[in-house]
Amino acid sequence: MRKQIIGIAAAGLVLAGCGNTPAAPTQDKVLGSSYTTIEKEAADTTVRMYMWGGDDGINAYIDEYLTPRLKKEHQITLERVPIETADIIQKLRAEKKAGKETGVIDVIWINGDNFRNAKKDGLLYGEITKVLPNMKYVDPQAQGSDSGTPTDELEAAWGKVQYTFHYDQASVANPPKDLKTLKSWVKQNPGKFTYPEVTDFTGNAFVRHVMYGVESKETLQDPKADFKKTWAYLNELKPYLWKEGKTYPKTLAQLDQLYAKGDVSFTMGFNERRAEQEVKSGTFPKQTRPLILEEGSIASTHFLTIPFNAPNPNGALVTINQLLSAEAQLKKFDATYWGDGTSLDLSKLNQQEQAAFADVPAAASTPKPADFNGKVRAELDPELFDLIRKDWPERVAR
Amino acid sequence: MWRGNAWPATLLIAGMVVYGLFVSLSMTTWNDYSRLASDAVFLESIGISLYVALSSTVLSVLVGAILADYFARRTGFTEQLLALPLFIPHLGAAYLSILYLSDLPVIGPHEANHLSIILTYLYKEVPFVFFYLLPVYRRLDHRYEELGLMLGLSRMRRFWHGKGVFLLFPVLEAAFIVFAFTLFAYEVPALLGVTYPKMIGVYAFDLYTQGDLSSQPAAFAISVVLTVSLLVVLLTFTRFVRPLTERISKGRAE
Amino acid sequence: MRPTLVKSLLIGLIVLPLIGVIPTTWTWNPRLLDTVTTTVLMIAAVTLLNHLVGYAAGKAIAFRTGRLIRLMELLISLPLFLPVLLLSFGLYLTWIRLGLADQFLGVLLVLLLPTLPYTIRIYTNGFQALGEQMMEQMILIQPNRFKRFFFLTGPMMRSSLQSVTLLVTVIALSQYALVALIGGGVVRMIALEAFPLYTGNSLVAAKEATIWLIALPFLIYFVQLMVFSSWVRLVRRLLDGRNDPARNEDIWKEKGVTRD
Repeated sequence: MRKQIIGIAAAGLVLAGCGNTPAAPTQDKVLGSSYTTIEKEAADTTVRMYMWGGDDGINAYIDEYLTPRLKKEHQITLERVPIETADIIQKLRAEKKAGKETGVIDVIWINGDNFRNAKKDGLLYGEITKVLPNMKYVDPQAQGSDSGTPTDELEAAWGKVQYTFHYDQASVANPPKDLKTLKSWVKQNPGKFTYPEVTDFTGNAFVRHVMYGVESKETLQDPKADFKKTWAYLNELKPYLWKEGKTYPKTLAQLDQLYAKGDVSFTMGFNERRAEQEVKSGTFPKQTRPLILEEGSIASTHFLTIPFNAPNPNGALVTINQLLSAEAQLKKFDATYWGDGTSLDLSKLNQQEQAAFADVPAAASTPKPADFNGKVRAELDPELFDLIRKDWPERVAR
Repeated sequence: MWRGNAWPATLLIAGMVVYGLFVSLSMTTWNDYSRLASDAVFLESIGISLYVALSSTVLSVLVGAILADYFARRTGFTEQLLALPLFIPHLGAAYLSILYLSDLPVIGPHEANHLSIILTYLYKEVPFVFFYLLPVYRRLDHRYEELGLMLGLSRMRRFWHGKGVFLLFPVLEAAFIVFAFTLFAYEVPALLGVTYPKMIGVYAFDLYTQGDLSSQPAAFAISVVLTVSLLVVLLTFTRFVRPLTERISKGRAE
Repeated sequence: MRPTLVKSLLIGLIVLPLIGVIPTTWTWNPRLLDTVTTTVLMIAAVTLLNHLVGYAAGKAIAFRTGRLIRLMELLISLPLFLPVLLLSFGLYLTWIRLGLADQFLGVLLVLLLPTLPYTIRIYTNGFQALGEQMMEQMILIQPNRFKRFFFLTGPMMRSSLQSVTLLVTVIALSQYALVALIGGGVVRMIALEAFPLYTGNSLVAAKEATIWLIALPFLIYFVQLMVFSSWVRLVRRLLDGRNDPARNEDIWKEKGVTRD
């Protein structure tokens, strides 16, 4: 019997030994080389891109547009892994702690508090934007900071969007203009409004919009403050929300489904163009219209980055560079798959490319550029993301 | 050697369980536990989890046992229908709930009464209990009850001596398995549960993955507390109930 | 309770809900092919390991006596009663150090926790039903343990073997959190694809993944039935002449074997 036990243990060790992957090229070697070398090294490799996977349009953009393109132009095999960003950061933390020098993640879609956490804990690869040729087209304003955290070239701006509400004109005759009229509309139409819970990216941002509307400038600057006006406003809404505020949609996707079915009259989200594709495919009501509150709309940029222990940094760099090309950004901008705002500074593109962007039609569900005049707000301190996640369950949801 | 060998299984399982518990323990300090004891969010999460797990367990054991009693006395194809849910993964059952219950009031997903979760568990666990108990019911010897009838025992005592003593242990065992599973599960409540309070499996997993590192010790502490308390219940159970039923049912065994 | 009433209740509550997942359109998604391949491989490996380890352990628990084996029985059943997912937070850190995290093997080992205790329980019951005397008898007939398994024990334990495969398949398919944590998204099982879609915005995509989730256990069970029926046919042919065909039907049923 002892022989058997030893046998099993030995087999286990042998198998465990096989698990070790070859070490990735060192960071200074990769970031010190020219893009041509990087491109050459990246050929015939596999890149794993970790990103939130709850949106069919975004998934399709990666699977149907990007993946075949990378294969054809760079012989890179792209694998999209649908995992929540916070879970990815947690995974990297555990790997860092355990000293795992070659991980499995090559590219991460990231922003806000997740970026701040990753940067703080040293989970990112390095100054990756320095080596990317397409960075010259990227809007420096979008690239500069991520919700107040300097990007320090650790991540590259992939898209730039505005928080926008959408409503069904067929059931909302007089749309509210600001938080005050929103509250009275909700009270008059019980059950027809809600927002995602605050662990969701969009739900958390809804609460930040309320903060912008009801708190003073000083309070907003202070993540230690008591945001009682915000909680009071949300608690006033609560009994009139969908299901009397006893529960909230877990994700934006669930809110979208409620909106699509007509259970609620509003949906919301970062990305002013996001309803176009949904209306076109018949998911959202035909008369979906945009709404920008008087209190303003938070501008948000989302980024791509590479983790400290990426097994294939060369492939990751090529993938990111590809996503920053005018062509990839145009495909992302139009309503075929996603309809996401571009992170490029259009004036830096050639005439033809500029025209192509200008030619993308804006549907009735997309706000006009003038609608944002004077209403664009900067993202709040990421500390507040945590504060909302911590306090909202106790002070509002409970 | 023909009597088999339990060493590989024991080493694999006990190794992983004990080691996982040890690592969790080493990640926490005493403070994490005292904080947990006064954490209202955690306590409410335990409360709702107990409610869901207890109702799922009681209902599925009850229905499963009645069905087993019913089908033990007849043969036929109908009982095979009950095998169907055994083929459906819990995740698939949760999808069926989303598909059918979403538009219904009261029993729809994301309702505070958690009925959709309980119904999903019933769909899966009633057949489990049924097939767990069916052989036990089939092995019951009806002469015991006839004997009781001859001796003029009351209905209750007849049931207890004829069936109860033989059923007690298997029923409790099945109940325990269903209870522990429904108490800790992640997938079903994550998909069908409400924002607040979250069931304990979801709450702990969220604590572990969301936000910054500060909430991780709490997740480990929850892991240790739950593991140890269930272990205590389990040990009490095997220490007292098992010898009891074994003593009572002795003489029946071949 | 009238039989027809029970029957219609069972059909209404158990069978009818499955109509909703019958595929209406058939789209072939290349992502799903990868996932299905990994899933099938993983299930094959977990099931095999369960059979190997569980068979031996179930036999020991059924036929051995003494304090040690009772203690082992308790230890083996622990994962049935403890929060496996929460314990795996602790295991994960170690798995990284051992190079098992994000690996097929690492997920395989962790999947033993929620499956192996059930397997062993099924085998224990199967062997108990078979009985010690029957085992001794079979050893007299066939001393070689591999031949014995092929000709006697295997076919006689058929229902236990089948239940184990089914249960392991279904439990392994359901694990999202465990596979996401330990497999890190690299070991892509169906649950990893389905779960985000259930909270996503496309019901069509969710259904597509669910079809696989529900169809796989049936497919695997069907393959197993085929394997068993050819196994039994092969055994019969090899033993040809010793049994007359008329009695064959009964021989492999538990009762029929007591012919000698």
